[in-house]
Amino acid sequence: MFYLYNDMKSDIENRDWINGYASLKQISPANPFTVPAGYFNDLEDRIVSYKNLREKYNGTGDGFTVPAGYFDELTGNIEGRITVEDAVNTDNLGLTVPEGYFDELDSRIMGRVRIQEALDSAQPFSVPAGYFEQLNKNILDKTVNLDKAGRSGIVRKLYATRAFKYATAACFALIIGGGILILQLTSPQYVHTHSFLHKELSNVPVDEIKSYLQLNVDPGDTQQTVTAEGATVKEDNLKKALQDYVDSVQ
Amino acid sequence: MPAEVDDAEILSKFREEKTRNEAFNMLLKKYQQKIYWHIRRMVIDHDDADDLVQDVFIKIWKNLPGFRSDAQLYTWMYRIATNESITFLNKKKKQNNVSMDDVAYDLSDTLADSAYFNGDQAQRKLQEALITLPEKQRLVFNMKYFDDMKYEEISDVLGTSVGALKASFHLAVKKIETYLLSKD
Repeated sequence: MFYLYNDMKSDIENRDWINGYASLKQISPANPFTVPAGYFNDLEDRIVSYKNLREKYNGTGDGFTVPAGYFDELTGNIEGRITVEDAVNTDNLGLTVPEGYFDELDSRIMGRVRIQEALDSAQPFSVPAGYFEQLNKNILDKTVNLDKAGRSGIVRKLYATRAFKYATAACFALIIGGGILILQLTSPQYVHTHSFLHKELSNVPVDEIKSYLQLNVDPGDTQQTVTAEGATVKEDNLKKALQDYVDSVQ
Repeated sequence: MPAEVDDAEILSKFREEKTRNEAFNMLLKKYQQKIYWHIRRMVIDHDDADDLVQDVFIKIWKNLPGFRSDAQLYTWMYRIATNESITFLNKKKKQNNVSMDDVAYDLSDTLADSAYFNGDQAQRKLQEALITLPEKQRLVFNMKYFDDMKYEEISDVLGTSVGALKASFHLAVKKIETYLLSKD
């Protein structure tokens, strides 16, 4: 190998070396490759244009940007997605269906469809012509339009408001208080103390009453007075009697 | 035929901002076909080569301000083109999740279907043989056989010693001959 190399050494700098390779020598040294017509005529211009373009956008890329830290997180995001996809891509996630489910499913669905079509098409009831056009107006005429003043009431539940509750409580208080008052006013004690006779006699000194009774009332009358205590007193008659007495005394 | 512009003049004009674009145009005129063919012989397909040649010149434009004149300008550009071509082929392999043998098979299909190949049967066989070689070995052969580059220049491009390049070329030629004889 070394010997052969030394022999070739002086030949190799010119093309005489090829004489040792008959098969290679037979091959034309002409360039067998070709280029499209006019290729080299505009290659220079194309290279210059390309150079100018690269200079103009020197390292700026295509203008697109990404959020800060995007590529730092991208690998993790992709790996996470792959993990999720692998997990989701398991056989139906362990869910199963009854045996033969899919075999019958299409016929069941078609059956439902046919039923629904039958229901939609079979409409036995009808309405008068123009009924629905008039219906809306009829309802409004009977409700909103009925009150010409345009009262727009707001319906509230009476018993639900706080004011009603307070009013109810006040009424009960009045009723109870009124009842108590009436009882008092009609009690015998109250009637007695607020009667005309009592008022008049309360102004009369006690000694005069004693002397009158001793002079003008015999024991029999007193008994009648006591036993007739419950009888009602005719005030007009009593007034007249007292007035007569006073006139007689004066 | 106008004389080719000197690389030193191109670099000088490029360093001046007002003449930078003019210098780049001069660079394009002088090297676009060389760079293109260098790429094309690696990737076979014209459209792929077209994309790559533009990418390469864009890289040249961006990195030329930092170019040190201790190396040849065109070997520096060849290095960029070589790296882009190898990157492209590796990417193709990764995208299709295939081995390098499958990429070679894919390139053979491209060669067979290419509308921009008018070589005879022998030339087609040679290209098929080259496709079977490892990428760097193919590069060495292409630069030596088709571009007539010196080993020192190829060494600058590939970053490989001259001795290793000579051995690599020798092996490449042996493999090609074996392939051609097997297909006869």
